[in-house]
Amino acid sequence: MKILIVDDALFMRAMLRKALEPLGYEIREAENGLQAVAIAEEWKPDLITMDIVMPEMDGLHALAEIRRSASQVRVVMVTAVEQREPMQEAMRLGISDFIVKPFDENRVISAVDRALSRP
Amino acid sequence: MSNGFLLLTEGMRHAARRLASMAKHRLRIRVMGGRILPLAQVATDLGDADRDMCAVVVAVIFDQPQRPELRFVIGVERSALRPLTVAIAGEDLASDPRMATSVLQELGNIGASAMSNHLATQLGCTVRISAPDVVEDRWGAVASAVLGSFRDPADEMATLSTEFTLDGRRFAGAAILMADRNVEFSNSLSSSILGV
Repeated sequence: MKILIVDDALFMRAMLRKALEPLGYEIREAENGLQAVAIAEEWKPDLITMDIVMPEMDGLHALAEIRRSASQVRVVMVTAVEQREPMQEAMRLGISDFIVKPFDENRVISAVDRALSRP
Repeated sequence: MSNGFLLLTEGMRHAARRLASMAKHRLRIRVMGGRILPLAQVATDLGDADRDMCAVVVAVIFDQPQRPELRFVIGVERSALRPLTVAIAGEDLASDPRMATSVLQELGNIGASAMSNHLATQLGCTVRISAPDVVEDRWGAVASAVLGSFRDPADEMATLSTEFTLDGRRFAGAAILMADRNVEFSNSLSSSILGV
């Protein structure tokens, strides 16, 4: 299974990679929404972990772009933003889960596992 | 102290709790309180304007007609950066020379998000934040650079004194809030932001 980690902070990408790579997932990283859209198009990941606040293109715009190409990729938002409007927008774009930073590693693993096991 | 300023101080306390929960070591961040000062006094109030700091700057933007803006700046003395990185990222990730800046960037992101989430709940409006920028310089230079990023800055800014204790060692830290002229720290923060 292929997972694309999208976050502008190297530290967060490293923490997510450290949690997920040992479970056998193939990992790639993007540091902003623009890169995420390009990699999602070309690499076709099974799941994306997506931050919201990023330079160049934020996570909600990136997700909308990815959905525009009819992609059904599973998405887990991993973000420090927990206000109603962005959360509702993310739900509307069909995310599987929403994790608030700072996160617990086990919470990420179970969210990814649940999202990927859904039919 | 105004109600608005208490709101910001409480927002910073939320941020401090969030940040401390990231640490793998004993990290305590205390927010002792804050002051509203004329711009000219800020560098002096920070204690040592010539101290080398690593600071992260995040714009907090209110979705209101006048688009009032705050800049949230959280800084630690440069000597604290390495132990802070080890405490938060762990020894293995901290060995990457790029990690310290990234940890600081994420501290700013999580801190500003916690504060903006608190403000959004209290004020009943949407509050967005920018991607964080890391600035390494003397406190005085950091404050000047942030101030220069406003087209029309307010005459005052707020400083919140903080204290980081990491495995028993104390480090100087501070948070400053600068605003454009639409935001009034010393009167009613909520009415100046909401325009009511």
